[in-house]
Amino acid sequence: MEIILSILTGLLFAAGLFLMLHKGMVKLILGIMMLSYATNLFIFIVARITRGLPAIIPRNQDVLANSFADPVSQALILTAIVIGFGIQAFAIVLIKRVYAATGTTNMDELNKTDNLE
Amino acid sequence: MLLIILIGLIAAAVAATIHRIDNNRAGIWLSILPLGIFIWGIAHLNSVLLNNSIIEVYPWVDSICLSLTFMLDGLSLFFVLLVSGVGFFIFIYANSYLHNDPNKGKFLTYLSLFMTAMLGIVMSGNLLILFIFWELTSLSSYLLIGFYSAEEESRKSALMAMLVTVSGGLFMLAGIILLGIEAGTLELDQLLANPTLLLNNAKAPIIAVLIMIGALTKSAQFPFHFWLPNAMAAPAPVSAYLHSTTMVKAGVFLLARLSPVFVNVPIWQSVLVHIGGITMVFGALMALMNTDMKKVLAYTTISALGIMVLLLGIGTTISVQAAMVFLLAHALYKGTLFMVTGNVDHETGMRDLNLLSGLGKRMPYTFYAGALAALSMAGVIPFFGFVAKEILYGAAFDTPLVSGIVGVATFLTGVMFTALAFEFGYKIFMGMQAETPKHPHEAPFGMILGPIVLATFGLIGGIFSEQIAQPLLHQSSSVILNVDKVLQLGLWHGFTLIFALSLLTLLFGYGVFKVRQHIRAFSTKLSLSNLPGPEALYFKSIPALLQVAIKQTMFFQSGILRNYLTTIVLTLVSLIVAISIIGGDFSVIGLSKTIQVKWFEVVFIVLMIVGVVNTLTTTSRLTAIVSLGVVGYGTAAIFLYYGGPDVAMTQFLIETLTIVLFVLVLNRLPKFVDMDKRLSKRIAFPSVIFGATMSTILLWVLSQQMNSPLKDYYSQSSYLLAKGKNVVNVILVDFRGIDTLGEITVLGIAAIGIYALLKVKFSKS
Repeated sequence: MEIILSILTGLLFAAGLFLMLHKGMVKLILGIMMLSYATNLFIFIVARITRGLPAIIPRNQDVLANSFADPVSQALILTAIVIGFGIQAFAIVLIKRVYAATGTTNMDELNKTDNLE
Repeated sequence: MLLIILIGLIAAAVAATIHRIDNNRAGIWLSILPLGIFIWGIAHLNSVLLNNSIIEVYPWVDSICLSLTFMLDGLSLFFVLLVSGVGFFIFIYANSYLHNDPNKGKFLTYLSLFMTAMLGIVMSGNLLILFIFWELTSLSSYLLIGFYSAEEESRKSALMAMLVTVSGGLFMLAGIILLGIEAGTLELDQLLANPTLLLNNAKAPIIAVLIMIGALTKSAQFPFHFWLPNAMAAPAPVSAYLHSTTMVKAGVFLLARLSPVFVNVPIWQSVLVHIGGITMVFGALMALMNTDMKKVLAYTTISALGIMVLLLGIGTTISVQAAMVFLLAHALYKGTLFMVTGNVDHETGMRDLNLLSGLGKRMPYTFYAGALAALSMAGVIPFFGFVAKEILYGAAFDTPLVSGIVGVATFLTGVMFTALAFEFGYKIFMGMQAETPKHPHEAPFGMILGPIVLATFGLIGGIFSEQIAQPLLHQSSSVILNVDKVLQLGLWHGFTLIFALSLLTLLFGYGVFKVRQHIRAFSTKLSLSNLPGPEALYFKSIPALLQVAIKQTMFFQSGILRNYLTTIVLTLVSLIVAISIIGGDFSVIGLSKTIQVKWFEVVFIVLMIVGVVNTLTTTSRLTAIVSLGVVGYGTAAIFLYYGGPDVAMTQFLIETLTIVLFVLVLNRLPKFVDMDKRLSKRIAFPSVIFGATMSTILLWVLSQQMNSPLKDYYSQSSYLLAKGKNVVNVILVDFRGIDTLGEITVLGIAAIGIYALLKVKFSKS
């Protein structure tokens, strides 16, 4: 299962970057979202996966024993998901605004400020 | 001493305000500052003369040998008195010179800043502090040269002066840092107390050269001299103050200051003697060939600085003493002559030596000052210039190395100085009155006070050299030599060879003065002054540098996101590949105990793959968003299966929110741009490589042993310490609660940003 999930994660990374490299603005956002899925999965899997064993201490015990999912990576991912949402929301509105202001849909045309000549 | 620096900075800050309140007398008010510092210096004279240097230490950053240390010994005090004494007259002079200039307040700000920085240099007890003030003088010099900022020449000259001195300063900084590493301290009193610190150190020559580059650029030595004549675009008080009496002597000061440390490094002596000697003769020759009064003075200043560098390089007792004596003499007459030139320029509207004559009747006080200064420059008895010339010749002909050449070169320079002195003190003031753009009349009081006092001091200082100048100059040269050697100044040493040479100098000088037109014609014929030199190199290299900067910026800053991303990704991938090839333990332990594949999970994964493919290929934005949603829900499902119910819940929630938000604004968003096949192929390559690399990394990590003390700690103490059974929740709200607060803050900022983007109206322009 690990092998399948690893390959899936790689696929998501590739697709995310592919979308971000496009000219379109919407595709940029889709790419960012895809990349954040990939990153979250990466962190999740890299901390080793165990099926169906959440890091919750049973009712009659004080500590977790035996095997269980890594709570540290999950805490990291939770934060990442929420921050990712903030970025996505901001990016969507930003693109809307840029589109309204410039009228262009092509990312490659947004390079006037970097042009020296 | 810190107090003086602070007061100086405050004065710089309020100078413009003072100008606004009292337009006519702002410079007079500000001249109280240098006067006060001068008196302060005089008050410490006795204690310093008794060989007690005063040291003030304010510890700062010990780890890089940086402490705010100030030091007042004989050498410092000499310069403090020079800077503040001349500064007093310069402020008064500038007040009249820029009488109606609306920017006078700005000028006085820069001037106060400069004076403070210059005092900082000479009073620094730590080389890093000295460097900071050093750069501050370059900066204020830039502002002052470029004061007439409406003129292109001013701006260009200002930039040139700054680039040359600041790049020299960078070398010097490197030298200082290296010195700090090798010697273990940058405190001057410690360095000077142990002059053998660098003895036999292999890096000593490198340090010496680096520091010398800084000093030689600042003191306009060949081949870095060219910025000084160009700096004459500055107003006259600036030329008189920065570019003859003080700032350009900072280099000489530094060489003198560090002389005890480096005097035993062979390269120190030979570089200084050669560069100083060449500059001395070259500067004097160039001065003779120019007719613009300011240019001439600039070149004689270069030449005079060359003499000082040469003398410090020779390094014998008498030569170091001569350097100090000559430095004072030069400051007195050259400052005067610059102010005299300023007066002539100000009142006649021109400053060509060939055309000016007969101004003496119209400008009697200026004439008086100019004549006195010229007599001192020529070294006529009983002026201080004569005293200086005597000891200078004494040093030059007493040199153990190549005494013949040094002696002859010094004599020739003296002859040329004398010839030019005739021009300044005699030619322009006597004879028929020449036609000038403005009708000449005497300059206002403020502009003749400084020249007269300084020139008169050159006379009195000569007659009473033993009483006035000797004690302090003796003390300062003793500091440089690091031993106490008697300095004996006086007018009369008997009919010696040196005295004969002095007389010969006057005679030859008058001869050169008489034939100067032929010399100039000769040089024009050969167009000597148009020969390619370091200045041409400067003018070629600056545009070339700019071109390189533009080219490389255009290359890296294409403004196209795709290029940036591709660069980042490919760099990352190639670094990873490089590391895995070069070394590092990449042994694979093997995927022991992989989890069994379950068919319903595979269904989800297949669904996700379909979602990915659909997102990539569809032309409809809605389809793309929904397909992406499928991928997002798929990830959530994976989290759920493998023990992350909280993560899965959050992912479901956020996924839904994102899609709703997306669909809401969909109509306002641009349509997909048609992709051409060629671009698709080109961007596929980095994407595939990136994905493959990430997969490989993941698989490699999974094949290694895992050991996480953090995981164990949280699972052990979650309930016992924080009374929570859901470990993930406890981490977020308890163990790492502050992080979560930060996360909320980020969301809040994003929300403010979104609100601003939606609400703020941009003006269409």
